[in-house]
Amino acid sequence: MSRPARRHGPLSRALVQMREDPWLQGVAITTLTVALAIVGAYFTLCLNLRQAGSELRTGGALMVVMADGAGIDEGRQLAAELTASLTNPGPHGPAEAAEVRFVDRQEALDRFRKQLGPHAGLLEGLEDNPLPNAVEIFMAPGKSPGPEMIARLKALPEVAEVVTSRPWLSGLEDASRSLGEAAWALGTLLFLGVVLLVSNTVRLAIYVRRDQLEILDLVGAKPSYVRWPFVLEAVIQACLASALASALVWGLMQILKTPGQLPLGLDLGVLLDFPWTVPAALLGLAVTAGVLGGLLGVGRALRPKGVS
Amino acid sequence: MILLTKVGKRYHDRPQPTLSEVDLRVPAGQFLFLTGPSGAGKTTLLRMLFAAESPTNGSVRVGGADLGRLKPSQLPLLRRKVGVIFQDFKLVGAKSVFENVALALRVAGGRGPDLVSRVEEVVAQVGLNGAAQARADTLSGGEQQRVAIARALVGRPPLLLADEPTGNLDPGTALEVMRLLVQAHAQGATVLVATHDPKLLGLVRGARVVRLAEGHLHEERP
Repeated sequence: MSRPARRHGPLSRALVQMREDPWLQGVAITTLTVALAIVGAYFTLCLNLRQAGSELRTGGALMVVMADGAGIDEGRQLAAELTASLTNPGPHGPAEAAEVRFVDRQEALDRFRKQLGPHAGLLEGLEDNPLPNAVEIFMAPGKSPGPEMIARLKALPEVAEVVTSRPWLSGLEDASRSLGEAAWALGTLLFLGVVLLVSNTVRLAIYVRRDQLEILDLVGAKPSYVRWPFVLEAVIQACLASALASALVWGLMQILKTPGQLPLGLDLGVLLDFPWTVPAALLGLAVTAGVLGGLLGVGRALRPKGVS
Repeated sequence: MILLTKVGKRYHDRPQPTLSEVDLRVPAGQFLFLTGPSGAGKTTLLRMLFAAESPTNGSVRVGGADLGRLKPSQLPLLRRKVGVIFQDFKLVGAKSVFENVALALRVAGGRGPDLVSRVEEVVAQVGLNGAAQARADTLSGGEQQRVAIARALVGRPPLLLADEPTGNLDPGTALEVMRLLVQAHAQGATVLVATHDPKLLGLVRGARVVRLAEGHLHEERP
């Protein structure tokens, strides 16, 4: 009959009671996973918008469209001049552009045809190439094509138009700013929601084990003996749920990352990122919500009872 | 050891009081039968002794402590000194015999080899050493009652309360259960057994018998 003396601390008891109710664990972890995935998706969206804003503000590209009369020679000449003035450090600081490149009409058409892919046949009916000669300017890292620079380029006689990502970048910046202002409020609400969910899960676990808890009470268990395993159980469930939620958000990002092109050749994949801060934040949030929700749950369901 | 003074208990949903002006003094080391018909208030009186129920009026003292003045934080300490055997056993069905018995020691901080040897000793004492690892809900009624007795005995409590301990058992098993209670009494425990079965009263030589009827307590065999 001899058996080894096992440890029976709160963690060990939490693991034992988790093993005793796999169904309950499934329900708890699933609901927490969904809640944390919503928080994770929201967090990822905020981070990506902020990241996208700063990525697009700097290091982007702009296209200088040449006037109808400007030919290849003028284009090359302009590219050389801009290379000299923009890619070399000036008196006021480092170079503004990383690269300046002339793109003639034919190259532009070839590129367009490539972008159209299977629909390239649409271009077959064209008698003339409608695309103009242009100069592409790739901004140096940390530099953005400001209004001054755009105005200076537009003022050049051989330039018809300067195309930048500015209009929709402004929209993105506005959205990012509004979201940033609401982020804390919404984030706090979502966090409180998770805490409440954990608390209710703990109450459900206590209800399911009420007979066992009555026995513990009758044999003289102190409230702390009963409470801590439930709090630890909530923390463990929340941690597992945070891992699953991270995987879920990561999977979602992979689906959304399917190749797509943004204006000026920007890749959508560059903008949709799943930084390590998301799972780390979810884990931290899960532990905090587990402790708070666990304490709240046991506090509500296991109030010290006097005699009846 | 136990002192009940003018104890009364009235439930809102019953016209008559369950207990009325009950006085009872049980010295340490006594074996006492609490008899009376079903619904006489035996269980209520027993539950008052481990503070699972409070009197409407009067006072209940156990081991010198006035239970009416007990703080919630002191309740567990009282219950560790009182071994209770319930009619419906109150075992954790999914746990083994060993774990059910060990529960009473674990809640008091017991662990390690001392706990294991004490549990093994008591499980053997109630004749269940072959079934220590069996789940409690797979045992017969008599075996479950023996597990409940082992759990009540394992902490060597000075007071043992048994509520209809043979109520669900056949005569042979009932006799065995009573033998265990007498054994605990012989080892120094004060034992209170609530029963409506008159056949049990003759099984314990020298036991005191009190009868509860219509809320009042009558001494039958001092």
